Amino acid sequence: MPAWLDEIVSEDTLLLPGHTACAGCGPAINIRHVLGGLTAAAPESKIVLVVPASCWTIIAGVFPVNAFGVSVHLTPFASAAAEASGIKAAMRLRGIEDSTVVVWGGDGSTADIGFSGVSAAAERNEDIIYVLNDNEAYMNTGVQKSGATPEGAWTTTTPAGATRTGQKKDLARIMAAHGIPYVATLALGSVPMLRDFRAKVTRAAEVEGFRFLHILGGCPPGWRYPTAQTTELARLAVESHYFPLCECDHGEWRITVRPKHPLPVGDFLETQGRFSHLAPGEIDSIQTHVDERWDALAGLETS
Amino acid sequence: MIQTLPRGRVVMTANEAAACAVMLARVQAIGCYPITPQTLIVERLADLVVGRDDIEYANLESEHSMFGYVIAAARAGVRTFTATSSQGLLYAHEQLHRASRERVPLVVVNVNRAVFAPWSIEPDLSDSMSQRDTGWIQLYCSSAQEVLDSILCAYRIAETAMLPVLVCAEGFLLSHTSEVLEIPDQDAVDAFIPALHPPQEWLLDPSNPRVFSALPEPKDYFAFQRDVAEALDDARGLIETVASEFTTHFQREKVAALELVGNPEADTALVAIGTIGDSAQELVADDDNLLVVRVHTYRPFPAAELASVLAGVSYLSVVDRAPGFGSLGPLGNDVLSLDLKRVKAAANFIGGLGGADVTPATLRWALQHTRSSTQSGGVAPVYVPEGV
Amino acid sequence: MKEMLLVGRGGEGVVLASQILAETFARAGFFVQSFPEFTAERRGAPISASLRWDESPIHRRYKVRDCDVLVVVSSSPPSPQALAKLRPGGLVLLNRETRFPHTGPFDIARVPAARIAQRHGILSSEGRPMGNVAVLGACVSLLIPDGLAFLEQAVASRMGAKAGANVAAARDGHERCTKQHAAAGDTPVEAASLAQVVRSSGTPVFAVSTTDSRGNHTGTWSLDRPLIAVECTACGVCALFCPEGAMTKSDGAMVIDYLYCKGCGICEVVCPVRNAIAMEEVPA
Repeated sequence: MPAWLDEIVSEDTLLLPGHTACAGCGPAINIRHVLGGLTAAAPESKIVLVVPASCWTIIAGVFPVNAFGVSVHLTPFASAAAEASGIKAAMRLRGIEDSTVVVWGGDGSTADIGFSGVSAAAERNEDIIYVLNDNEAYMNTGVQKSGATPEGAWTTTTPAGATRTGQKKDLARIMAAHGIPYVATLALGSVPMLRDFRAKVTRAAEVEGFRFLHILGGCPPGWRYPTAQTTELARLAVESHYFPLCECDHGEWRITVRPKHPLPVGDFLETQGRFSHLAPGEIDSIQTHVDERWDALAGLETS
Repeated sequence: MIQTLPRGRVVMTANEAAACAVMLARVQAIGCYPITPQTLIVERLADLVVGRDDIEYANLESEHSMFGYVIAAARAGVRTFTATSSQGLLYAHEQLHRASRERVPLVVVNVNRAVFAPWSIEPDLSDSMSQRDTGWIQLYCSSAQEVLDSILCAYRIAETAMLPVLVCAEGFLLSHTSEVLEIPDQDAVDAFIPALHPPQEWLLDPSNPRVFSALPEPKDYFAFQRDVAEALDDARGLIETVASEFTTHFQREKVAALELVGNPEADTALVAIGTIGDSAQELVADDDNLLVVRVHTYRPFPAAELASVLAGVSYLSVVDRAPGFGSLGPLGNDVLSLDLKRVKAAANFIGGLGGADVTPATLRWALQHTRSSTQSGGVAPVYVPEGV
Repeated sequence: MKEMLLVGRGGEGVVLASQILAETFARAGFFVQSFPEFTAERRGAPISASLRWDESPIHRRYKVRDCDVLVVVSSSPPSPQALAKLRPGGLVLLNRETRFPHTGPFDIARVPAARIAQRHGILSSEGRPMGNVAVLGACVSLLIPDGLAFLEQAVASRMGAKAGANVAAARDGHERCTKQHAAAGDTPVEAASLAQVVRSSGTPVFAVSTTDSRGNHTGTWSLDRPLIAVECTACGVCALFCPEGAMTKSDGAMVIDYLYCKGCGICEVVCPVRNAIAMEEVPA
């Protein structure tokens, strides 16, 4: 086993056992590697996690239980980015230089209700890391469509027969258009993907200014799949070009994981109940959009 | 760009006075979002903080974010300030509830302005009066001097009670009206407002990982809310103490809960708030059977003090500058719910909405209306007719 | 008025079962209330739903604190906390094939709901039998004379395309419900051990959480659990992807902390070594 993996295995987990995420929760794996990666990159730096309304309001612990090894500041749905800015300002004023302020915001908070706040914090180039914890719908309230829900997906507010039309917001490109120093997309589906994931977290820790990490995380009850398939779905999402892994480091775009033999997007869609109603023609249409997005991304890389 | 802080006897508006008070109070983090008629406060502060690396000044993209910014900065241990008006205060409504329930010692100035619809930028108290149940201490001012003095007191009150304070001043009538006031020396203010030391158990300290404001069981949630209510009740004494210390320290009278003008033995009383309470003072000159009560501290409501002041009154007029849709006006509701056994006739008047003038003539009309009435409890407010 | 608690785990259709049962009571002429626990449901985490029924209108507007009937939708046994809410003389209905030790002053009935669901192909997205409707069949046989037809109508109205198999499961559950009697060797549960935890300190002023979550043993949520076989090379990949932090490497071997393992099965999927990890059902 490579040494870098051994080091990760022996890390203290900063999301403590006994947390109350659902079995098989993808974001629960992801947050362990965000917190672990930031700590490994800057061991002296103390992390403050800023969490808007989401599943993580509850996963953080029912009072007086604390499921984190870092400070957690809970906020209303729309103000996490502004509050992270406020905490970072207070840290500067108090002379606490070694603090890393991290927002862990869901796709509803980030793409919808808190979007203006995220955009404004990016425009001010606040020295914070904003993580979009994307499970592609409002899961805490029981699976309702958000601005990051993909086309064709069933949710309780886009029932089969009236499934989501329009396109999932491309938050990575939207945020990169703010001219911020670092944007990356991340997902955890295999050991090579973990290496990519941790490298991006490490890079985020090195850079100063507004950093945006868009992480895809599977939700077994919301996407309707067996709990054991969480990482497998992340792998299929990447290998089908559904969720390309890329970064934009000071304006330079790069696709970081390039599947050798891209899978048809249907391979990703068919694993999940939320897409089970789709007709072949609808899957073809999604494939077209996936291809267009990949080509656009590849174009950014070469330009 | 004016970077010097005036001192001594000056002529300035309440907005400028507020900015001076904020600098004198050594505020560390300021959140800004423009809205008329408050904007001049944050503009003035923007000038004053240039080159100051001990002050953070952030341009937020909404009042909701702005309140979030100061709440988080305060939780992380620094003294904060922000200001807003009207729609801005309403847009931040959920943050107001949250700030008091989370025990955040904010000081915020609300420059009162009527609310949409239809549009108006002129003064009335609909904005902050409709936030009275959010758990904030609310102080209503009637002069630029009182705005400055109340802000200085507000930091003492907020940081002792661990509750947010809203200092209210009517737009234009105060915010844009230049008048004479005294600006204290920095040393005197430093001696009055100690450095911020929030309770360690409440403070966000990155080296001591804890979760703040996590979901409790119902019994614990209930207990937290009851604590907020008790803290507000306890703040009555604190407001009194701080005002009295202010009066001694700065040699300038500071109103705590109520300002009384006129004959304390009068059988007629007029209760008002904000600048109407100031205008009403003219009436006592030619009416020695009148007591004018101006409410300065609206929350926590000075119920016991008011009941005692009004105990001998037969004719009671309460004037609101905010509508009471479906009920009495806010002040009317509070005052007329007191147990006042001697009252023969009482009425609640609503005037001055959207900048309509409330003059001594209006108030005389109101007093006359009450004296000729036989209604002792308020069933419906009287909207002041045009032309009185 | 009678009160019922239905208990199970997130994802087992406990809340839906309470709604169907409420509709069944309503069709049978009763006044009813049915409501879920006032919390976010977590897949696998303990969950409950409440039901009240009466011949006259119901005016109670608070949570069901103790009950006349406890319905255990899960095939795992009821927790002592759930049993403690049962009033003396009450009834427990279990999703269970075998005898359950009689532990208190109440009646016990059981129905092999999981087996019935399996037979009718009523499975969750994880492939587990969903015994909720078969349990309802048993419930109705115990509580509503001539109620089966109403239950069938309620299932049909609530379950859309899945109604056919579920109506059949409801019928089987109705038929295969048995009551059991106390036997020698059953030991009563001590009431004292069921007391609710009361915080020792006074009223807190600030909602600041400091109690380590490791006191919260989420391993009780799991239906399956991983077992590590001799083939394991302790490469540690399972630990990298465990959402719970329940897998660690110690002295060159992988160790699973079952106090926290929720049995998601990700470790088995990511394991690069053939036959090193296998999932097995948690023994009752």
